[in-house]
Amino acid sequence: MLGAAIGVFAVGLGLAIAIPAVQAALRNSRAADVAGDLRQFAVAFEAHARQTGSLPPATEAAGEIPAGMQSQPGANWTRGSATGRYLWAPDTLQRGRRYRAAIVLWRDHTRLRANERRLLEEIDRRVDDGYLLSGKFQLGYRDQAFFVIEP
Amino acid sequence: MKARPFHISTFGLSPDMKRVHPAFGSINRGDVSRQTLFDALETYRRLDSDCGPSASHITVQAETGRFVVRVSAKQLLFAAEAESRAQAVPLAPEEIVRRLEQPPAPISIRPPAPPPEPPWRLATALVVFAAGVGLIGYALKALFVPDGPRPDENIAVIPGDAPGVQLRSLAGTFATGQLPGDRRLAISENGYTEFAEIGPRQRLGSGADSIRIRRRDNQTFLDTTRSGIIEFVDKNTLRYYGDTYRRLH
Repeated sequence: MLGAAIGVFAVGLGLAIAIPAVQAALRNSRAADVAGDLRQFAVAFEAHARQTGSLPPATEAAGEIPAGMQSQPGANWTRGSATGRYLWAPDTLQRGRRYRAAIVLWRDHTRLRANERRLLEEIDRRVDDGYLLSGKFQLGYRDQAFFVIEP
Repeated sequence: MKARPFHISTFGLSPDMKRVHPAFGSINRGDVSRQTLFDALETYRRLDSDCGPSASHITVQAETGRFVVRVSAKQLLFAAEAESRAQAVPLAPEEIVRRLEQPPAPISIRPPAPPPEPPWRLATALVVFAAGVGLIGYALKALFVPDGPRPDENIAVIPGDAPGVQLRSLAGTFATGQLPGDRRLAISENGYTEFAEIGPRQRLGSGADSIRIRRRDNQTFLDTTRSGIIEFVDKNTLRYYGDTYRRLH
């Protein structure tokens, strides 16, 4: 009986170590992808503003490529990410403050789940200050994350 | 019960069993009684053999098996016939006779029952098992992440007619402003609210939701089914996710 109990304990210990480690690895990988996307999009929008003198107009839906940007954000924009679809949001109001331009990580459901929050925090650590209520990367309207392109 | 006879044969012993020499060869002595066997063994023990234990022996066929008795230095060496000479044990004649009469030990086909586990072992097993189950539960819990706690879990519903009265007084349209990007919030008397954004994104995030009025720490809230909490500042001002909505009409 003691042998069987030790076996159960060993399985539990293995799972308790392995599952969080795998989840953290997946979270890090997804966060790195989104952070890479956001940096690439920021460069593309800044380049567009330099060439045309203005940022693109707002889109009507998440995942829609802004007018005049067809070749620049690339396939990742339409494909979206583990955190949701990308939404180009000029003139956006977020938690009482208006931003000239931001990218919203649009999520269809309202309530932010615990694992989604951890993923957003990991993204924040990579692109900003690691704190979701300040800086360039924040939680805004309905806890949707947004990345400031122009404050 | 009548004792069964022993069948004995000798090697290297004279017919009268008083001299030892390999030249005497094998002699079948037939069935003998217990007493005769005992006397023969006693006689054999006393013989002086210069030829060593390999020069002579007595073979005894008993119910318990076939055995060989040799003599060395006035001591009888007893062994089963299948055993080697080194496995022989020195025994007195009466011990040899007793061993020959012993029935064969019963052979059990069932393995012997293990000794009962001591209590500390059982307690340790239970503790380790419980810890293991706990660890498995802890590990699997990470796979089933619940939604974050609702911020309004401890909010009490206003009883009686008060909600209806407050909803009627709140009904109307609220907005953060009139520019593109500003948001609107409409509350109806029958307990529904509608969200919308001014400008190109007006289709995004729009939709109706039901509301209930609740209170916590003397603060009034509008609790929606899917869209979270709308803070009530006064009947002309609401706050939602950090934005201030003022009554339009």
